[in-house]
Amino acid sequence: MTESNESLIHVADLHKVFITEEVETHALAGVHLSIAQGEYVSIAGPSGCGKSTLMAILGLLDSPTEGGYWLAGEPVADLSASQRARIRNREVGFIFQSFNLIGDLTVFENVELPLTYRGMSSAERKKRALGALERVGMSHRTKHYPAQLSGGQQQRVAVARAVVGSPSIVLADEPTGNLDSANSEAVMSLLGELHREGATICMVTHDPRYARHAQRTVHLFDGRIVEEEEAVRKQQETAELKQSGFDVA
Amino acid sequence: MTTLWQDVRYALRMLAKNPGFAVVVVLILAVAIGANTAVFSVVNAVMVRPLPYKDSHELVWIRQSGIDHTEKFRYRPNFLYLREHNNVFESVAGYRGNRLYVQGIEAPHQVTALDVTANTFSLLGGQPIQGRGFGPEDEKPESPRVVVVSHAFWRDHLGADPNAIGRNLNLTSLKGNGDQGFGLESGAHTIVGVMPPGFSFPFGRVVQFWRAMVFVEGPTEYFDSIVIPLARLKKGITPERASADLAVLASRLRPTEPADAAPNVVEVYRFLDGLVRHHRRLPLLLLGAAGFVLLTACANVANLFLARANVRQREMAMRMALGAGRGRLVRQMLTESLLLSLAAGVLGLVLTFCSVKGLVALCPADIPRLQETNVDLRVLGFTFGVSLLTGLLFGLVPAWRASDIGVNETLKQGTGRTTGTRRWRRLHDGLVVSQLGLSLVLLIGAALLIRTLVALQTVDLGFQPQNLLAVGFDLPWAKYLETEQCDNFFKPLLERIQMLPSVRSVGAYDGIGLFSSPDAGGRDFTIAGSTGPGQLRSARWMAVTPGFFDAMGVRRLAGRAFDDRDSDAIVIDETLACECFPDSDPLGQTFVTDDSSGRKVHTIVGVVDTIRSFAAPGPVMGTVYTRGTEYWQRAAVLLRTDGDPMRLAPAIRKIVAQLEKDQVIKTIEPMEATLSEMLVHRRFVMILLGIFAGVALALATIGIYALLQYSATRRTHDIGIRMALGAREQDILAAVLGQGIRLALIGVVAGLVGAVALTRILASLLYGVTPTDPLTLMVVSFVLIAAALLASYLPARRAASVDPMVALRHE
Repeated sequence: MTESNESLIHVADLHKVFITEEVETHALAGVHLSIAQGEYVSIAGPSGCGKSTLMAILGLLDSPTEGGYWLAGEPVADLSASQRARIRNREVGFIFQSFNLIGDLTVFENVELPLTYRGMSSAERKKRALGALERVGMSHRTKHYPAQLSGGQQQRVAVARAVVGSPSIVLADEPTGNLDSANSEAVMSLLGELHREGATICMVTHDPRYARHAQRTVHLFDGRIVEEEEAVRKQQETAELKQSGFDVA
Repeated sequence: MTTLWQDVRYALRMLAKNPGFAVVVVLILAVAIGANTAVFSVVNAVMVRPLPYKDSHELVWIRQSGIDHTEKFRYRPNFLYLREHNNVFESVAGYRGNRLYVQGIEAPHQVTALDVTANTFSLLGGQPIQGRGFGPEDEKPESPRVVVVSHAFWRDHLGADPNAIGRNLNLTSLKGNGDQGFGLESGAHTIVGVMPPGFSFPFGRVVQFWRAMVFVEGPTEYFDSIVIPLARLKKGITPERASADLAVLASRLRPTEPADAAPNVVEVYRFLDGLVRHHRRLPLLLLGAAGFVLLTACANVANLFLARANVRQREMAMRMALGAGRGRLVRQMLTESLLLSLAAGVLGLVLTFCSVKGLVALCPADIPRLQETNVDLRVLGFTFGVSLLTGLLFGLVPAWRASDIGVNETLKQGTGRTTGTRRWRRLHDGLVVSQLGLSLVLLIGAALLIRTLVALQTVDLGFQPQNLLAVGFDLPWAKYLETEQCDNFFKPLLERIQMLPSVRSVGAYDGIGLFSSPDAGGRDFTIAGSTGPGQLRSARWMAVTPGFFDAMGVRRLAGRAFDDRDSDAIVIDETLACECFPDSDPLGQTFVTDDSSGRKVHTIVGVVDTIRSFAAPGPVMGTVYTRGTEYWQRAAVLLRTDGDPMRLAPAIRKIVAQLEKDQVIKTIEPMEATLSEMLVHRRFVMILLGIFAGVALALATIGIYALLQYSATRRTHDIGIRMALGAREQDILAAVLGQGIRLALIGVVAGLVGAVALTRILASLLYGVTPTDPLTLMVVSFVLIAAALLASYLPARRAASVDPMVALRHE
């Protein structure tokens, strides 16, 4: 199967089936999605709709059962584990809901980690890691361990780690899920800033307040995309609802 | 008490819930405790158990040595002075060795006997089972001579006669005879007592007769004036205090020679110390090695407990939330570890019962009281103590760590994935490193001994030990006092042995000692023509028959062997030739001796290779071989044969019996067996160290495997994150293997430091290799690293094959 597309990410008729003890669960059932270079897309939907599964496949952490996946025009659905690891390292930046910092490593070492798998020189790694930490306002905590930081600070470090390798796309899976509203807003504004600087972002969220930060929202339900909406339209609707006295939070 | 019972019940329930864990821990500890108990049972028998005398800890030997090495208190007048004037002993007794030729029994023969002072038995607390011991009247010259016989003599030679008391035996013994040398003294002796079975004095020596020592007024021959003192300390007096007091006493003794005026060192030491002073090192060395195995096992099990404690943090937090104090939690966890260690102690004891006989069979036979090794109350107490100590050792740190938690954080975080991770890991790593270090020390010790034994196999002994039989004789003084009598025995003996089929050559030597050593006693001589101070030399002098060199297979390096023309000819060995004539030909040179037998000149007619043994494979004192023109009471015969020399043993016994009815063959042994016995200490230590090192290495390898497996499982989530960030399988593999190698390297460094410090203890057993031999240290370190690498590979492989999605979901 070949696919010629100008999108950074393009998936076509993507299926993912989990089989556990004679039970088949169709996590994804024919998803078609394209994300253009520099676009900020949010994926929304209720729990169990397949958001995280889609994210894992987009991040090459998992393979689809069926369907095609092109990253920057190259088919990546059937790569070997080693090739996928290489692409993950160079093209994808992850931000997880639970931060997923390594407790044994300092803030600096956590941010530096993806670069060590590239065989980059120590001096270059240091320069880029400190730059990324500067960018998220955490350069004063380089020697701290994750357990010594607040949740918001940990997620900022996770953002720095996601962008330190200048990936093609940043995948954020519920980045505010473990944060209070103040820290959530701070992380969202950080992502907005990254986007304005040219980053392509794909974010999973079930919170409409944060989904609206994206240019486009894709709604998933039972493993299928049921609706796509322009953020601008959604923002207008939200504004109208607020004016009518409804709380959308 | 109620809470203790609660702890025990809960501990049993927890262990029953996880039987695999309990079984592994008990097995690991049982092996280690069993090894320690088995070795301690030997130490107990040899070094700890009291000697079978009344209040034996109060019994002491007295040694006194000045710079002239005289033993003043062994001189009878001094002995009597000591007995009269000391303030530290309750009683002083004395004895000297003797050999008595016994007649008046069915098979007259020579027995080993002691002349003892009348108070010897009462001092030792030994009572005859029949008759009486000695009284003061028995020491008087005018009293009838009396003896007490051993139970074995009474049974074997007196037919266990219940009327043996009062029976007369004719005893012949050696006595000093002025300028004539030695003479014989014969007379009737009355048996006055029979000692109980098992009684021996001096301890461990087979003595059949104890004869009352007679004190004659006036001057006596030196031979008759020797009395070896033994004493019982007064209550509260230590040997050190007694030594100090006796030093003052010794200074008051009249010097017999000018050199005697020199300061004296008096040493008073307990019987048991005297018995084991030359055998102390070996059991203690093995106990130390077994201790290392125990420590390795403790570190291993502590790691398991630590891992388990980490998993149980939430349970501990919950208990704390419900009001349990830290001490209570520590006690709870210690109860579990103590229960396991006590169970291991019981199993270890079973292992000891099964293995102790094998251990004793492996031990060198010359260690005193070895055959008394068994499991007694002291060994049981040791096992119990070691088990408790073990339980505390491996249980305390994990218990302390497990109870050091933040209750709120732990309850919020479940198993506390991030809490204290680094601290726990450091502890885990430290325990694995200690296991690796301990096993490296043992491995190096075993490897050094293996290299020693290999090196000894290549030692140039200077003779051919194969197909060589040595027959030692101990002819009774009573019949063989004169050399003519000895000649009448040995000359026909050698002629008849020579005629036996398959005998190629026969020789004999004076029986004093075949092998030289660096500190062998020497006889002074000078090289003719050399004058001035410093020309006095010393060498071992050995009388041999002309056939000696052929029988031994000694290489002749120059000149010739003896022949019938030689009366003053000598053959010297290469060591002496190099020492005395480094730049000239020794043949034709002469040595001069000038001692009590007069001035004699000896001409060197030959040079032979230096004879060495495994007991002294290095430099030895040079030897002068003189041609023995007459035979000696304690000569040894050497015969070289075609094939197995022991096949000739029955024929030799038969020839000897035809010449002399008395049992005069002392030893009959192939030379290869004699040499092999010299290796028995080294071989024994090597085998046990090898076993202990193997067990320790296995534990350390299991330890590193378990740690990495545990660590990889605990860090599955982290591995998932790393993979999400682009780590490839080989990156994860390398990281886990790297962790294993890092631990191994630290363990090797720690072990090398320990080995450099501790292998010096082995120095006296080593040959051809130093305690810090770089090749051995390098090879053994490499073996340990290889083992660690192997143990790391499986966990590394598993970690690398983790699915990142599964890993990221893993908590």
